[in-house]
Amino acid sequence: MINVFKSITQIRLDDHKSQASEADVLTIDENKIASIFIPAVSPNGAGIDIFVKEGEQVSVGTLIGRRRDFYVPIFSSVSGVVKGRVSRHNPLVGRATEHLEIANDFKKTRAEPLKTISFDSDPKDIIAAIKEAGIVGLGGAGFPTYFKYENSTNIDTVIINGVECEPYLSTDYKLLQYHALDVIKGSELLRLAAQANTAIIVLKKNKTALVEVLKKHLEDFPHMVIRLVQDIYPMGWERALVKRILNRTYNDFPKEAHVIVNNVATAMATAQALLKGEPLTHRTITISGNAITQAVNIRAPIGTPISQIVEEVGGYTTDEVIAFTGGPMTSRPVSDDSYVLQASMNGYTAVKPVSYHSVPCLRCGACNAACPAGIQPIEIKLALDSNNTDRLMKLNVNRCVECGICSYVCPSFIEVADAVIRAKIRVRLQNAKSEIAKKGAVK
Amino acid sequence: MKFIVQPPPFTRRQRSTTGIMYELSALLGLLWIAALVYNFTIAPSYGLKAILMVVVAVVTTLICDVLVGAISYRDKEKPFGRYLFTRIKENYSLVTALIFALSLPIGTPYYVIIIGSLFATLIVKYAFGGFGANIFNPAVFGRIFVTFAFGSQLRAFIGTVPGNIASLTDVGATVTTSFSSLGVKWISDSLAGLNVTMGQLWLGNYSGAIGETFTGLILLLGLYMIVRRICNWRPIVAYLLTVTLTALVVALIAGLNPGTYILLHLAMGGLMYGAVFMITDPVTSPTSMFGKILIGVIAGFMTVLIRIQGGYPEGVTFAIAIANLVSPLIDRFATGMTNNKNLKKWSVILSVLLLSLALNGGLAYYNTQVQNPEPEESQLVLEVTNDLLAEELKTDYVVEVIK
Repeated sequence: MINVFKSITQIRLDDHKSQASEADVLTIDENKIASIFIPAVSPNGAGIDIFVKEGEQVSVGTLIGRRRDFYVPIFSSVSGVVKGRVSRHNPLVGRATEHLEIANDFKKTRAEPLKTISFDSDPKDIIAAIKEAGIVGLGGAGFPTYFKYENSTNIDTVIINGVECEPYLSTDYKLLQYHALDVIKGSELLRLAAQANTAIIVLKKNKTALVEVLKKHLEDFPHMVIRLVQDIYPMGWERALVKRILNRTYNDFPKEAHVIVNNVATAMATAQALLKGEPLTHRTITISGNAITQAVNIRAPIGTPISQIVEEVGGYTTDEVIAFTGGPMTSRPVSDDSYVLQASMNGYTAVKPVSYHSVPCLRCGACNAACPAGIQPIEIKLALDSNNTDRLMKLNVNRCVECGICSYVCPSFIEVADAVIRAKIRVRLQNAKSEIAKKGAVK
Repeated sequence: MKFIVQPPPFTRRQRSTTGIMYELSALLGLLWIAALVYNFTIAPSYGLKAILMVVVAVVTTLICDVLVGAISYRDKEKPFGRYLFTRIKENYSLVTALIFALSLPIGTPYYVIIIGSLFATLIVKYAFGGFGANIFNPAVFGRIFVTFAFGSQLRAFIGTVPGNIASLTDVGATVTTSFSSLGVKWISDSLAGLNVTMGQLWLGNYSGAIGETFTGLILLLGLYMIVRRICNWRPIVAYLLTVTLTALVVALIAGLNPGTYILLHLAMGGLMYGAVFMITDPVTSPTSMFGKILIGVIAGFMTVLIRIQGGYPEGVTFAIAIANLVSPLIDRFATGMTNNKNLKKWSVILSVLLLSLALNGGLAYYNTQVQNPEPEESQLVLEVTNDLLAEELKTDYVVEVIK
């Protein structure tokens, strides 16, 4: 049944992808990279144990550290000498953090490859191999992949997400174009790891050329199917995908609906690590936006400063830009481009500044109708403006996925999404406070 | 190299509030042109009056804007002229003035228009904080204010009735007033004695409020507004559907022709005008889509209730005022997720609709069957005599002409 309490037509964005997705994928000239910098803090703020000392010689793929909160090994992406620790801005954490500097010796010597496995291996071995290879979600979240598989039972479907619904980004598209077989093999491995019956590769309807490419390889993999979805935003959101493809809903995690969702880039990294023994040391990133000279996808070692990558593709066209890591809907802006490429970064976009003049809210309710999470952004903003935390608690603020649609549709150009994000922080604080108060009462 | 930091998203839909409001003004302008064409065909003085009525309302609201702008000018660094310009541009008083002026009949004196506009802009809009903060629709409350304060001045003609306007049953009254005073209030499917046909009611070429009469044109404008997303379709559809269903039940109970009766309800008393231009005002509606449906149903319920039972000839503005009044309450009720509790939301909407059907149907039954039962024989005889008398008069007239 159509829900008349929500918007019937979905949001179709101008995708700005053509320039980058039609160009060939470039590879950065590694001889120009003097040093790479590996963050010593993981994106969620947890520390990383560093195993190498200053002056130690490392190769491409040498284990240099491991995350403290999850079992995620970190590998060096160039060969050279560990020079020490420097402080650099890290936009994923939101502040300057320590980075391990490795000076490049341009020899590209490779460390011992990882232990490889085959399609006949035990699911437990596959998960262990994923764990050792340090695979994380490459679609933007950076969540450790092994964790999804280790903690899930009764999975019947693995969804491989190639929707890429944010404008500007086209890394997944290029991966599927060049490495279709690797993606399929990786998907098969992930399906085996989850002991699922099917793996579904999901693409947008307008990517018909890719379907042809994939179908050539699919004959050998009977458990794999391709499904196409509409070109709407945010179709690539886990919850939206599970609902659209399988018509299932869940509360917190897809595993409740017996599904695991992974990105195509994650599937490809899995195949390369588990079948070829190459750990995650390089990734492809889309550099685009109307303030970039040449929009292109480029493959670079993890830890390369973004400024260097941008220089490699021709630099900026204007002196003033708004730049962000990822697509324009969800990404937070960055204050400079000196930060380094990390595994979960799929794009760097710089656009010419546009300022929006906001007028008072006319209560049209467009944000309420369009919100894919089904919350009421403008009510949240009004409650936040009037400091009404009690009402915020009732408005399901935590359901927000920060997709940015509420600000996008607002005819008054009000920063609704920003207000909801601030409301989330306030609610989290309030919850923490009441928890502390409760504990105090027990004592 | 300078990196500018502002909140995401960095791409926005091009549709802006200012665009919506000025497109709406243009549509109201079209309605005004239709009113001018009709009034100039009656007499040049009527056409001029129709021009000046709108001009007076617009100028009055503009003066209010300047006045309030001068009072609230604080930021001395910004030049006053520019401050005032943004203020006027972003308070959209033009829309209020147009909706208000087009809802008045042609004989309204200028001072009534001025006082009404002052009340609508200063009290209903600016006293609550200007555009976006007003809890009542300024045009609706301006109209209600002049109805209460200057009811007898709101005439459908200027000076004396000119020859080429069809004479009205009750001098000074609009078609709706005459209709509601015939027999049992609002329970009739006959246009006899009103000198308008159903076609005229939908086309708009009869005298009434200058913009409200063009029911068909307003319906088209409403469809355009829905397609262009200038307004939400939910309140319009809910309102018209509720009135239609309630009128259907009333017609069936009172033994009237349902088709004619529904069309009369939709065409008379500025109902279509209220549905398209007044109840759709987003500022005074709930923000939830559920609420937008619910106010339509509540307004529909109240309109028919006031029409068949209330003390005023028609109830569109009052019904919309009540809908505005309950909007904040509905917003409170709809707090939470928009995509769950659908059953609860539908049952609230349906129960208001059923209440409307039951109450209005019951009142129709009471008013026609209990209070005013079928005319008895003696009355019938009287009517027949009246008819005969009329026949005789006609014959006399014919005889006179022959002579």
